[in-house]
Amino acid sequence: MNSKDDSLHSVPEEISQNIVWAIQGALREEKKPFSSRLLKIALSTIAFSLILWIPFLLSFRDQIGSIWAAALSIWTLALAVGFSLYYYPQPRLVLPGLWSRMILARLLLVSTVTTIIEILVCPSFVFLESPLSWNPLVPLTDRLMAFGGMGLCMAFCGFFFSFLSALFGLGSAWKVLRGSHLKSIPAILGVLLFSQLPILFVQVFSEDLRSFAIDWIAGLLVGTGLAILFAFLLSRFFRRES
Amino acid sequence: MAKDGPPDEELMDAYSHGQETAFLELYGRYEARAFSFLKLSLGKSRSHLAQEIFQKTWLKVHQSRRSFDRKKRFSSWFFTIAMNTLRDEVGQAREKRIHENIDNAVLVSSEPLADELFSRAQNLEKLSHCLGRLPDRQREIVLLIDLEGFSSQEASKMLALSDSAVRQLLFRARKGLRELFSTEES
Repeated sequence: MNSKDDSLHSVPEEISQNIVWAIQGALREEKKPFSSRLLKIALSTIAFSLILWIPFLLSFRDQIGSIWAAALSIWTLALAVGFSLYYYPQPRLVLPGLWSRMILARLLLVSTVTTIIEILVCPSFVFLESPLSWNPLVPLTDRLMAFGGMGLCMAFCGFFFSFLSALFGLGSAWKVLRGSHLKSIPAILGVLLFSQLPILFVQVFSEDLRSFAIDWIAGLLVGTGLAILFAFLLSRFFRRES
Repeated sequence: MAKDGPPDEELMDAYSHGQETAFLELYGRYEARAFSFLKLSLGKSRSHLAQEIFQKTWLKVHQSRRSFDRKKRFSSWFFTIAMNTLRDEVGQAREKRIHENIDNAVLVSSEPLADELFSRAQNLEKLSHCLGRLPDRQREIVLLIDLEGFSSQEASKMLALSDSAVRQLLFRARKGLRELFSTEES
C-alpha cells in the first residue's frame, strides 16, 4: 500500500532532523551500560548537593539538628530522583504539551534548588536565623502577625515560597507548558509538592514549627495550586497571541 | 508496505530491539505519508499544528515500540497512533462530532473516489481546501481509505467505529467531496 502521492506535503528539514536525532540519541543511550548512567546520576547529585549544602551548613550550622539533617537527606533524594529522570534514555525533544521525564526532572530540580535558595535567603520562615538573611517582606509579615497571629504568617510563608519555587520551576518548562492540557496537572502538582517535601517534614517533626504545620501546609497547597493556575493561564494567553 | 526491502513489520521488530538503521528505514517510508495525512486531516485552519503532532506521533511510536505486535500490520498501528495523537492535541470538541448522526443503515460505498478525485485535484491547495470543508470524522475516513488505502474494516478498528458506520461516513464523505470539487470547478 502506498500513499497516492508521497509528496503532498514534505516535512520541513529541521523537524525531520530533530526527530531522527532525538530517536537515534535515545537508542544510543539505551545501549550504554546501566552503570555509566548510575555514575552520572551519582556525580550530578553529589555535585549539586555540595553546592547547595555547603552554604546551608555554613549559615545554619548551630541550628541544624537531626530533623534538618533528615530534611537535607530528603532533598538529596529529590535531586537523585531528578537526575535519574533526566538521564533516563529518552528522545531529548522539547515539544509543547509533552511532559517527558526530562522535563519533569527539570521542573523538580529547578523548584528544589529554588526552595533551598529561598531558605538561604529568607530562613525566618522555617524558624532559622542567619546573619546573611534578607526578608523584604518584613512589613507585610508584621502586619499579618498583628492581624492573624503566627498561624496566618506561617500560612503566608507557605504560600509565598511555594508559589515562587513553583513559578521558577514552571518557567523552566515554559515551552512545554504552552501546549499543555489540564490532564498534565496531577503530574506537575506531584513533582512540585515533592520538591517541598523536606520543608513539610521539618514543619511536622520540628517541635517549634509543629503547631503551625497545618497553616503552612494550607499555604503550600494554595501557593502551588495558584502558581500552576497562573502559569497555565499565562501560557494559554501567549499561545493564543502567537 | 514498501516495494523493496524488508516488510515494515520486520523493520519495526528490529527497531524495537534498538536497531537504528531499521528506524531510519521506517522513518523514511512513513515520513511524508504521515505528514501529509496529518496536514490534510487538520485542514487549512489548523495545519500549523501538523509539525507538532507529527513529532509527537514519532515520539509515541518510539515509546510504545515494544508493545507492537509483529503479527499485525505496522501501517494500521502507526496510523492509529497518529490519529490518537491528533485527537489528543486537537481536543475534545471534535470528539463530539464523531458520533454524528450515525444510523444503522449500511451504505456501501462502491464508487472509487481516490484516483478520480485525487487526480482531479490539479493542485494540492484545492484538495486541501475541499477536504478541510468536510466534517472531521469524514475527512479522517476518506484519508485513511482513499489516500492511505486501508480497508473499511481496518479503518473501523483504527477509529473504534463499526464497519457499517465507517462505510456510511465514507459514502457521505465521498459524496460531499465530489460536490465540493464540482462547485470549485464550476
